[in-house]
Amino acid sequence: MTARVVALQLVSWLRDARLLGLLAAMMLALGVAASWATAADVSRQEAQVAAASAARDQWEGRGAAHPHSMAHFGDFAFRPSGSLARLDRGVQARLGKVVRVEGHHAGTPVHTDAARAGTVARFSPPDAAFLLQTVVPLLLVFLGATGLASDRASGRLKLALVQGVEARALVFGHMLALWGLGLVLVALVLVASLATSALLGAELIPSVGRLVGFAIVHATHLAVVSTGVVAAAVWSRSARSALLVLLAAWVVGTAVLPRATASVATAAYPLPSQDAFQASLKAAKEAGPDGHNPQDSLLAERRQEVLAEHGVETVEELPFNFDGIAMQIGEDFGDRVWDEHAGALRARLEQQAFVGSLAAVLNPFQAVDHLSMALAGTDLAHDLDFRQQAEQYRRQLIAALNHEHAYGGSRAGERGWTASAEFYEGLAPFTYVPPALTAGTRHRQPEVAGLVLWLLGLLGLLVVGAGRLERGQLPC
Amino acid sequence: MRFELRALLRSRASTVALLAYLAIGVLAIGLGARHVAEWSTALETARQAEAETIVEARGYFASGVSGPEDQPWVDLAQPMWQDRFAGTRVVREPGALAGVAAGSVDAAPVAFHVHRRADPLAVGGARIENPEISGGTVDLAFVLAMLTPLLVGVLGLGIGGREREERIDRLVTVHAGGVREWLVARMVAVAVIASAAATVLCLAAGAVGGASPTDVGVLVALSVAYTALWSGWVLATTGRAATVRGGAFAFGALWTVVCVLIPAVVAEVGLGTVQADYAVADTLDARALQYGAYEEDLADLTERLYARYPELRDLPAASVDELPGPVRRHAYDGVLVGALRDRHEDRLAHEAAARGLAELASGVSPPIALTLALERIAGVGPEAAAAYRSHLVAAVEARVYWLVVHAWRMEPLAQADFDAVVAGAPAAFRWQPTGLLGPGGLLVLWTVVGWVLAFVGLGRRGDGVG
Repeated sequence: MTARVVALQLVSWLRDARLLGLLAAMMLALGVAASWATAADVSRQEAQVAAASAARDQWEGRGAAHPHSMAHFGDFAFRPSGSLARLDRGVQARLGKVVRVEGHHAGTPVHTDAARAGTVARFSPPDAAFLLQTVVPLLLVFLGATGLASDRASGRLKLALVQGVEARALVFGHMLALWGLGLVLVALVLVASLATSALLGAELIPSVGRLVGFAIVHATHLAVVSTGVVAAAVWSRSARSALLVLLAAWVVGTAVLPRATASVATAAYPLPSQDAFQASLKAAKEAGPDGHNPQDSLLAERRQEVLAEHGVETVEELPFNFDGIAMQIGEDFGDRVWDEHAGALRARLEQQAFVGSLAAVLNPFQAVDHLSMALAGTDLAHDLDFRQQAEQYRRQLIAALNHEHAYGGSRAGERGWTASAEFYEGLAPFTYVPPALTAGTRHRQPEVAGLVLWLLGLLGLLVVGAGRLERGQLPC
Repeated sequence: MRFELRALLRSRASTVALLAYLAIGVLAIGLGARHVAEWSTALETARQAEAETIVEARGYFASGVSGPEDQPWVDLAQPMWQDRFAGTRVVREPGALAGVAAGSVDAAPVAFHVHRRADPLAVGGARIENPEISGGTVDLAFVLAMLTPLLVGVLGLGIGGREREERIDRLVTVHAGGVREWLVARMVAVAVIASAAATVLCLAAGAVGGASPTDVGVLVALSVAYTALWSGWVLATTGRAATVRGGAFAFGALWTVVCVLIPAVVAEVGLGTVQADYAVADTLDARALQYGAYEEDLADLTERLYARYPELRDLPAASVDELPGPVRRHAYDGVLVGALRDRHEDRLAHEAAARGLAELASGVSPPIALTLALERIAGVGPEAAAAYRSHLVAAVEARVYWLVVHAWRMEPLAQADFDAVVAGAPAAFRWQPTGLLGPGGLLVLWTVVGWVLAFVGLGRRGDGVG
């Protein structure tokens, strides 16, 4: 019987020219958005690869050079696009795309798309995820709130119940019809994106696990929406009141609660300004050794130890270059200071994000947004992971340069000495490896719990509502 | 008016909407005030850092030493070290209404250390932001641009539809002479109520920021014009509806298209144009220019320098056979600052294209027009950031010029020179609101169009009603 109700509902949508037009427009919008975003992401990835390649060419093109000169020449870490950014760009537009990698300083990502796009960057761009999370639910609200209501208004609902049709079959039929439509739209997005990738000759499926996860998360969210819509229609006295409740829920869920959460998180866990952060970092670093200063008192102690170990009087007599060791001592201290300050900042960012996760338990729109971003590799956690890997690369690169500076064959004060071009070519370039699916989404457990609880709760509400409908305790 | 006010007080939904609007507005003003307070703290931190190095340098001059004891290579008689110890910070003062657009994307710092190698194009914004929540910031620009239409919509939803649904339109014709006049009068009352609410928020924002009456007046005028615009649009869409539900659908569709879909599509277009831009000009190309200059033949380099600053040919260093190291380093500075200017001009050209898109979009989307206008009043956003960056590039150029000229004189500098550098530090940057006529004019134009459409539409509808 449920299957028949689903079929009946589908036929009634297809017979209504206005609804059919609306559905066609929605499908067109989703297909265009998914294709457009995929094409943009492919060109972004190509630009990232070209920039990284040009940086490598510059690095290798330096030829033989002094290692410390190369530490100042430095490198750049160009942020690659998220694994599924073609479906959900998440917060990518607000993230710096380039990190300067050099000696003495940990870099901060700069050059965001949002900054370059100007005033219009305040508004959310309509990628496939935005449409699936925001606009498709609105469509389901309009279709669902009036679907059962028209049965009720025309007397078909009462007639069906009198003839012995189970109310549960009726309401689940309506719910499944809505959900089925949602699933078709999710599938359309995936097909449009995959087809565009294939047409452009790009990698078809960057991550199967993430793609499957994306589909499951959006399917679950649309199940929550479909169930909620039909539950509201069952429990409301009229289509108008159901529509009002659902529209209010949509506005609160998509616009009000996310902003309220942001305000609460910012107030509860304020972040320092960039200037204050840099000033505290600078002050802490000034208390430590300065690798560039041969008269630094903190380095003098280590110098004496090294001279004593080798039984010589001056650094020039050492079989290696103490300057490289001094540089690394300065780096190690700077790294510890950075870990402390950046660690505190990271903790603060994660606390803010956790407030968002808690809010997502209450709001399925935020839950699906967060989960979708995490699966696409375009959320805060992936940003922090990129920063960490860029900083790790910087440390390894500078340590290798300082090691060559110290033990490559030069002596203290020998500024004209150069390490071979082959040495620099042998140093691996920066390659960002996104976290595995489980590691990249582990922090989203509250969102998963929220979505599942909402689905179970609304299903329960629907079952109870169907029972009451059958017993005549709700208007039919 | 009295009728509409009574209706408002009787309607729980309208009262709740009005109170929610005011509450969110107050929250936005509070968040904006906090943003300005953080901005002011950052300026204080910068000024303190500048003062510390100046005091340190003056201490060395007073005790007759050339610099710190453990850094014997520091010599305050050289321009390079006077530049470093001057610690010049060029700050950007917040405008009185800066909090209004606190949520805007503003990629410039609020304080910048000007020195010979400073690169204003390589720094980000003043705030450390959590990208997951910064997109959801509530500021007054959001409240006015997005929530004011909702408020007008909620207050005016029943206008037209309810009269027809409850079949009192004929009664109205008999008593008031015509449905159109009645509906227009009701919508004017709604516009007055919504405008009053928006004006209260604007006045509060002005009072919190200590804005001048002129600035507050412009803010109020824009918000009132925007409210009038939406009142006309709501009347044009809901006034002809046969039922309240039909009016609600029409308004919902209008708000979704104008406030969500058009801005979203414009954002997509804007972001699409910069997505593949990995700032290669400001990173790889800038570095290549820098190291290219270091490797360039010194004679060629100085020729380029003289082409830029011909007056250097008359200074002592121009006649020496080989430039000493401390002088030579400033030859690089002089050449590289020219490259900085070129990169800045390129960036400005790109930003002008982005601004052009926003201005074009404001022609079809009043929320974008209002946001643009509010950013310009507040001095926060891409345009203010670009103007500040121009100020900084000019400051770096001036400092490098000072360095090159003093290096070319080949004379040791004294404390008087240091004091002159400190005293001659560039003034703080203050944004001057500009370009308000364009978006303001568009708001007025759309207001007129909306009301005319409403009049014409109601006139046609009235044929079959009265």
